[in-house]
Amino acid sequence: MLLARFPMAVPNETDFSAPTAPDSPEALLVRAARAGDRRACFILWSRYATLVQRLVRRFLGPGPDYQDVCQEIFLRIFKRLGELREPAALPGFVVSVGLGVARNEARRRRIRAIVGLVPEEALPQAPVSAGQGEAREAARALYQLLDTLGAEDRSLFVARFIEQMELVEVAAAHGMSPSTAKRRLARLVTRVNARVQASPVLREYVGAIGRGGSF
Amino acid sequence: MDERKDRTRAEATCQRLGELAAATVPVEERAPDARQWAAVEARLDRRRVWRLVPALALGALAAMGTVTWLAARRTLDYRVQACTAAADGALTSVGAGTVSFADGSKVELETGARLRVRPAAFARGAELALEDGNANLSIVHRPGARWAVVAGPYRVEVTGTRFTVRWSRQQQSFRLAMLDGEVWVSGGALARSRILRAGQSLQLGEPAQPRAWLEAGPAAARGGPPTIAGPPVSDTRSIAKAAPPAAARTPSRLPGWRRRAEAAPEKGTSAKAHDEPAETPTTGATAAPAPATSEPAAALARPSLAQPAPQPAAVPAPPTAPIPAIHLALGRVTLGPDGQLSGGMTGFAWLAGGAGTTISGAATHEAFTRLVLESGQLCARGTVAALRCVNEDTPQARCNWDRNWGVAIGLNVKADGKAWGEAAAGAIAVEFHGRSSNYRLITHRNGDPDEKIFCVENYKSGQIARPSMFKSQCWADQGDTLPDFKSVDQFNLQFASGMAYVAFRYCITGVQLLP
Repeated sequence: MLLARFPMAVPNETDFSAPTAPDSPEALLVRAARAGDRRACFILWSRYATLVQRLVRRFLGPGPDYQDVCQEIFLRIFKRLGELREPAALPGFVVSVGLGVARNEARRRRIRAIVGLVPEEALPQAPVSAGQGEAREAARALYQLLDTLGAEDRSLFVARFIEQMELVEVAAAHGMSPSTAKRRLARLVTRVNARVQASPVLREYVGAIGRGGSF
Repeated sequence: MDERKDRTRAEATCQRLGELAAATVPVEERAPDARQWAAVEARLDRRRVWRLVPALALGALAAMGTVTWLAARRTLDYRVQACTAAADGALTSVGAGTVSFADGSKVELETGARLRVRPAAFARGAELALEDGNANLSIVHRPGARWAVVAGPYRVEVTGTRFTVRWSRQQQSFRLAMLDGEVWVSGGALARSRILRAGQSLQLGEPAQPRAWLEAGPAAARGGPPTIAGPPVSDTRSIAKAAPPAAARTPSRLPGWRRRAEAAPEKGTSAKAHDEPAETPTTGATAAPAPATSEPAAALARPSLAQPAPQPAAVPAPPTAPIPAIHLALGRVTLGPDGQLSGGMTGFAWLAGGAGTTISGAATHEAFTRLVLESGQLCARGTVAALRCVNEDTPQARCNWDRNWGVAIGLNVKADGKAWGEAAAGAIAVEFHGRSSNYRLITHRNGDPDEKIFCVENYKSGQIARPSMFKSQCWADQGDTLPDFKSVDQFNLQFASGMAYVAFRYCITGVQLLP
């Protein structure tokens, strides 16, 4: 499902449910990038740059300084390609690395705000798309709420509810078992809901919602 | 049921918020910008450079090691003349052999001398192993130079100097005479490194030779003909305001040590060094001839020797471990292997004590072979009894000065006991150390009665004593003075007795003669 929602990440129609053949284009690409082939790295980057960028922006919220994080994610991907046993798992690997780097960035920003290097209120407010009045205000309130969560809870929320990843994918991207992911998501949902109820903007925004799906 | 509803509602809330974020956060769906890839590639290149750092560091280290190794292999060139080279590289002089080094340093070998040259790394110098014979070295001083001479168990560290070194493999004797500069000597019988400066010399003799080098006592006790230099009695006075009358000191009351102390060793008993040349080339001294017997002196000595009690029973037996015979080089006055002086004096050093004096290790004070040689110093230790006096604190005070006068380390200026003569120095300085006390530097004129002495009261170490400073009643700072040293036949440094029993230990560390 994840791959289906990232068409650019998988431009070729490849069956990722089965192991990649050793001489498949994907395997050759990964092997070449692992060996330091700059052209292979470029191809990987061009395939996953949009995915990574979107992931970062949705994780950190709208802001001007996400390019450095994206670059860092790719540097980390190229460095850790040796850990990738199955080339078919490359998209999930990219998401996992991206979330990890984003979590680190979120922690760093939070520490900076705590030690006063950048006052929290001075952090760039989340500019949202124009013409969405109420939604824009709600989005700003949402990211303020996410700022109050821990980095891992925020990562779980982004993966599950913003990126709409399946529970198994969320668990894999965070290096935890599905049952652990389900338990932590349940606690997270309760906590987020409580804070939504405490926020007039978000409460009003989601007020009309009565029912939803289940995980 | 309500709980389930609440959970479902909460999940729906989160779903709605997720959709909100996905819908409102702007995402660039256009193709990635090539400039972004350029930024990634630049950072990749930087990381690649950093990955090369360990390799570059290793390479630099390897290069430095190679350069150092090549530099270490560079040694000082040298040229050999009048020598034969053995298969093992040892050089044997067949005449006036020389080894000339590229830096100007030079080694001259006497005929038959055997030398091995081990050039040092970085062309700093060389280690010269003198396996046998005599070598004269002239080492050019250079910053960072490292020169060493190894002779048997001894090692001489050189910076830049001229000196002569001799090693006898057969006799296991080592001799070093400094002409210029200074060196450090270590190894062998030396407990610690010693520095030798210009004008000084050092000889370390045969291991089999006995510890004591003043063997005159036993020789005299065995009836050998002693050489009498006629030293005076050192009449010590610690408390009296006036000197005791000279007439009270008759020869019969003289302590027996004097006669023994004046005795030179009998030739053939311990005078091995009589056959050897002078120890210090710079002093120009030569070995004294066999000591001649002086009849008056012998007449003085024999009654004392006839006394049965004071036999030098504690003459130390040759130790099991090899101990060199000679340990001392006294400034310009050098102590020879048999206790004979050279370098301005040709007599013998001796040790003597008064009636109340006990010298450590000695059976009696008559045994004057207890001069202790410690680390190149001439030392004596023991105890001195308190004086016994009458009429104390009055002008009529009288004490047993004649018998209980203390202890003295003496130096006879000539082996034959005669006056110093025209070779006499203009002044003398005795360097010593010991417990705080009243030390007295005493001299005696040849031909004077024994009790007639000249002294410097409260003498300090290194103090330059000229003849005019020696007074016949130095304890009262009065009396005659000496015009010169030409007529004197001995000097001694006296640790005087006092009103209290006292332990003493003092050492003469050097004697300087001045014009």
